[in-house]
Amino acid sequence: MRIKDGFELHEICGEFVLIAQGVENIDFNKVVSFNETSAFLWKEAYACDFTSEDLAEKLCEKYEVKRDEALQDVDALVLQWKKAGLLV
Amino acid sequence: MNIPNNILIPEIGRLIQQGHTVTILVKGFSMRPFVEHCRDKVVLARCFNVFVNDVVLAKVEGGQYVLHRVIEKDDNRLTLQGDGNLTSTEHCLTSDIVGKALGFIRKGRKREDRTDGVKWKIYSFVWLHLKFIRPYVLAFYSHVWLRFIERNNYCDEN
Repeated sequence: MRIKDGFELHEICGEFVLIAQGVENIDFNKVVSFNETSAFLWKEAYACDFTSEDLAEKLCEKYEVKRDEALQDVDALVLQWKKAGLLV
Repeated sequence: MNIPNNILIPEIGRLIQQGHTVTILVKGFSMRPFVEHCRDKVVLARCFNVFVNDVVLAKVEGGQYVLHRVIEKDDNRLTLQGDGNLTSTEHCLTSDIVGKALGFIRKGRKREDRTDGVKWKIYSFVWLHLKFIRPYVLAFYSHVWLRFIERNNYCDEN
């Protein structure tokens, strides 16, 4: 999997929002917001091919979490990203 | 997202300066009756020239941000007033403008009512000439129209 080009993650007061670049109008009611963990995974996954296992490993390195739980959370997140059309 | 205006709005300003237009939800009752709190959105763009009757998002005295109509312009000094405000005004400089309203997306519609369109111009003309009966119109709007006709009390939303 790979993240689509053309998105930029902005941090605003501890909140992360994903804004499409090159889009003329930015609708703040439609931006995708990320929490700290999903923003961390986005940064790790950005501009490279990755699998859910890769991200689960990064999550385990960063946070104290069991690998099975990490993989479960990453799978759920990746599914959300797919539904939002953020992956190719 | 619940980000304070003093942090969110400079970010919006930065995106506008990059050449984007930005759409945000309107919060506050001061642009009634045309623009309703938590129901309507405003489309903002970079402001190259500002004229009386333009609606601008600007930082006013005291550091607050408001989306109000320009009612007076004296060189680079502006006086702003919300359509729903009967007496209170704010002051700022043209350099305090974050963006100028290109239009409003009202009542969940997809199409915006542009501020250079006929509808906005007619509304503005009528509203600005109703100065002495505005209190009654606003009272009717909030106590009768929203409650019994539109059946939405946006006052309860945050």
